[in-house]
Amino acid sequence: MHIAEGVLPPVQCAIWFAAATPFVVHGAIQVVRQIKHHPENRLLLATAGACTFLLSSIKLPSVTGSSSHPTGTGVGAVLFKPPVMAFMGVVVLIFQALLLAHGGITTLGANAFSMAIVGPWVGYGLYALNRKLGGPLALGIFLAMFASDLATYCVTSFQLALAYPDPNSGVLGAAEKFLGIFAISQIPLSIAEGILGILLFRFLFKVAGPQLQKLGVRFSSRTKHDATPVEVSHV
Amino acid sequence: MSEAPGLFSAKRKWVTPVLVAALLVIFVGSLVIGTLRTSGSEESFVGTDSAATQAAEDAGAEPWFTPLFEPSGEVESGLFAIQAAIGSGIIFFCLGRMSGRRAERQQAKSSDNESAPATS
Repeated sequence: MHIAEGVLPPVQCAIWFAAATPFVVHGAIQVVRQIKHHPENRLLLATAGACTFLLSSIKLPSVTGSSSHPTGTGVGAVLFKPPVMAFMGVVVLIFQALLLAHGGITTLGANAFSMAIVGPWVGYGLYALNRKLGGPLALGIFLAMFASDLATYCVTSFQLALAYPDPNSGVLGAAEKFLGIFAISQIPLSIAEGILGILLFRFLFKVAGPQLQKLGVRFSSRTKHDATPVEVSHV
Repeated sequence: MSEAPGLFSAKRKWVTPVLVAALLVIFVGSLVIGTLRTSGSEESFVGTDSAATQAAEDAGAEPWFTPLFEPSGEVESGLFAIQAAIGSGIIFFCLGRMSGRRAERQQAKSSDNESAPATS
């Protein structure tokens, strides 16, 4: 989803910078607040940030014959709400833009908007919706990871389409073209990321159960009361 | 603490191996299907990011700014490996510490239970 350095026209770079900056500043404040007021959550916060750092560096093969990388922003969105990931995601993007020539400083605003802002919010939105509907937590975490990954790539497709609309079919035609490059490749990777999320949270529940409860990652009230009978009926 | 239900229950030991197996199936399946689909073409598993850049340039994009520092392919793969190493290093340090703290808590709890009758 990294739009390469200098690919977007200067005006659009500026617009995306302007759109992303408030989210990132707000996110940075939230990160500082989290560290100050909840020092007991520092390890979880570092885990969430490191997930993005790790997963966005790994390019995996996909069914389409191309390769792409996950985003890993869903973990932090579920644990600490999306604003925190706006800041963490930007740190990762700056690292990659400066050291790896992957993405870019001019396109940082656009890339931050897709990976660090829209991705985590869409993932968190589905996670919250699932909880509201009383769905199982595992489904919520899967959806958060899956959607934050896929949504990021969809936003990138539209950003490129807005910059380079098709002469015949316009922005939508171009969006279709870029989605063709990104979205289908990303589906198996997003599913894998969702499964990885369940694995990670399984471990987190084992070692930091009370902290997760305090952060609001808990089982919906219905399943909590029914926990014992449900357990029995499944065994 | 109440026991986590569903797929998060520590008692359900089958969940982890099944999910790891599912990840392997997705990875190997993608690799095989992707290889079959690109057989014959020169390079398989091109990054989608570079494919999109190519498509944008075909559509008229002219990069107006070049990266300040552009590593060669070999150095770049090493830098990506460093990024992954830093990320996994932090993750497993944190998970290990949380795991150690839990063991500590449990130990404190069990030694409390043992010493309680003796002191009272």
